[in-house]
Amino acid sequence: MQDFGTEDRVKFFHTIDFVRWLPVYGAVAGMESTMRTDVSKINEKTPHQDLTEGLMIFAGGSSKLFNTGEWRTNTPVFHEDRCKQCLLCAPVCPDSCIPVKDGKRLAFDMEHCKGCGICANVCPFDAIEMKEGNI
Amino acid sequence: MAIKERMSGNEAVAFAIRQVNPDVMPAFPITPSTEIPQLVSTYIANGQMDTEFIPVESEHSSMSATIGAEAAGARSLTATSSAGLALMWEELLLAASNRLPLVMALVNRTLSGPININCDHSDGMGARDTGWIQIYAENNQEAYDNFIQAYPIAEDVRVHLPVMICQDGFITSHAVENITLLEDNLVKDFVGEYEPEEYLLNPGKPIAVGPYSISSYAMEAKKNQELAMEASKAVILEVAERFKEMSGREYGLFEEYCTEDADYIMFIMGSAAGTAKQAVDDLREQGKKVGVIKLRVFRPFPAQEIAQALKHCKVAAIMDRCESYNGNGGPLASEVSAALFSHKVMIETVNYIYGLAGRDFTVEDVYDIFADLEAMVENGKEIKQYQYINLRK
Repeated sequence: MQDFGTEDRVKFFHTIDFVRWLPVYGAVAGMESTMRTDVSKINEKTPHQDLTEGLMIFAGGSSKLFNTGEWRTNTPVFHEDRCKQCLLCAPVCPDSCIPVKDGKRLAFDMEHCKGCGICANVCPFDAIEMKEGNI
Repeated sequence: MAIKERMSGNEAVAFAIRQVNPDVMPAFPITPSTEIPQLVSTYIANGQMDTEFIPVESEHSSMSATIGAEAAGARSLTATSSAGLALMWEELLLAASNRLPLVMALVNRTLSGPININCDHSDGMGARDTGWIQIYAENNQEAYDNFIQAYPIAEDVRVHLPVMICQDGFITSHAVENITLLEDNLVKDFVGEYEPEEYLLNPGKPIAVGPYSISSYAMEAKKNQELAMEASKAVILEVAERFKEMSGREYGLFEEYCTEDADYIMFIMGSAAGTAKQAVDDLREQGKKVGVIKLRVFRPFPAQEIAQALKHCKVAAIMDRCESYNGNGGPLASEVSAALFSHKVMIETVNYIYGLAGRDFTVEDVYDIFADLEAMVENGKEIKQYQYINLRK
């Protein structure tokens, strides 16, 4: 399943979803797709005729596109020099905001981190410091 | 060559389900619909169907699972009655708003209370605003034929709405009558394969079904759903036409029995229409100009067609097998009166409530009602509106 990051989020709104899946469409039933609509084109001015059927969304994991990081109360600061890459922090994040690639944790996903502080609590090396406020 | 058999309504619907061989059936038992999932389970156990049967813990779960399965891409259905339907209420609305073409076999039983297992239309009527297509049967033949037409109606791209196939509890569901069945291959060809354009279990084309919507979108979504309900009327007639070509049996939005020159018409739904037709035959022999309109498609409500069909009569008796507790009459009375008024058809109507919780409705009752209507017109007798037939008082 596609993992959406910040760059993908920007891309999504400028890329027509169905173009990405065009080769699949071509293979499927050979018929013209009548339902798929570029959801990024739908906004509060869209007339009812242009909404999707049953408000279906033609993408997966679309909740990642919503910036819940705006609600953050405290902010984690990553002290990379102290991090031993033990990866105890990544699985305990309730919002899955610590991406892991090639066995190493990356920077916090600030679009979705709410500042709960569980990661800082778990880190044995003080590599995560919670600062007050939404920084 | 058609197959002549004797079956109850439940057996007939279960037989149709076997012939359609859907993908998933989550179900929970409730009298008088229990035999439908029971007989389907037997077919599956005997290897005559490969449907995935899911015995769930309640009707809330059976509709929930049916919605999930249909959204996943499986042709799904369930069966229930009365309180079982009521327990599904919040999900009935979702099946329709998510535009899922699933089917339900509803065996009409009164809603509690008092607790009672016999027939009336309060369960189906209680769900009349949920956005489902609702088709009512007079007898086992119609229940069977309607069920076979259900998926072709629901799955049509102009519709994509759930369909409820209704039959009267015990009266139709349990009484054994003659029936003409279709061959398996004919039904299979008629119903076809379910090929959804979009579905959840579709790698490479992920979708989300039933998202939250802020107020800026909800009203537009509801309008689109409403338009699908309007469009379904034409589709129902098209499917009926195809069904007629296959079976020779004709269906429409309603049946007009001896109404062309009728002065007095009884407007009725369900098995009691058969009783009414018998009474009409008897009264016609005496020279009375009486007729019956048997409503088949209650949702979408064919207001204009009904107004046209009733236009030329002097008085219509609108028969409700259900209370709506609005202080004025039953649901059919409300909807037929609204249809007549908005089309400026100013005939007299009298609303009768009959057959609640299985109270018997006889041919004699129909004679009495027509006699009342006649007395109203010819002798100026005042007829009380909103009467209960056969009420002890």
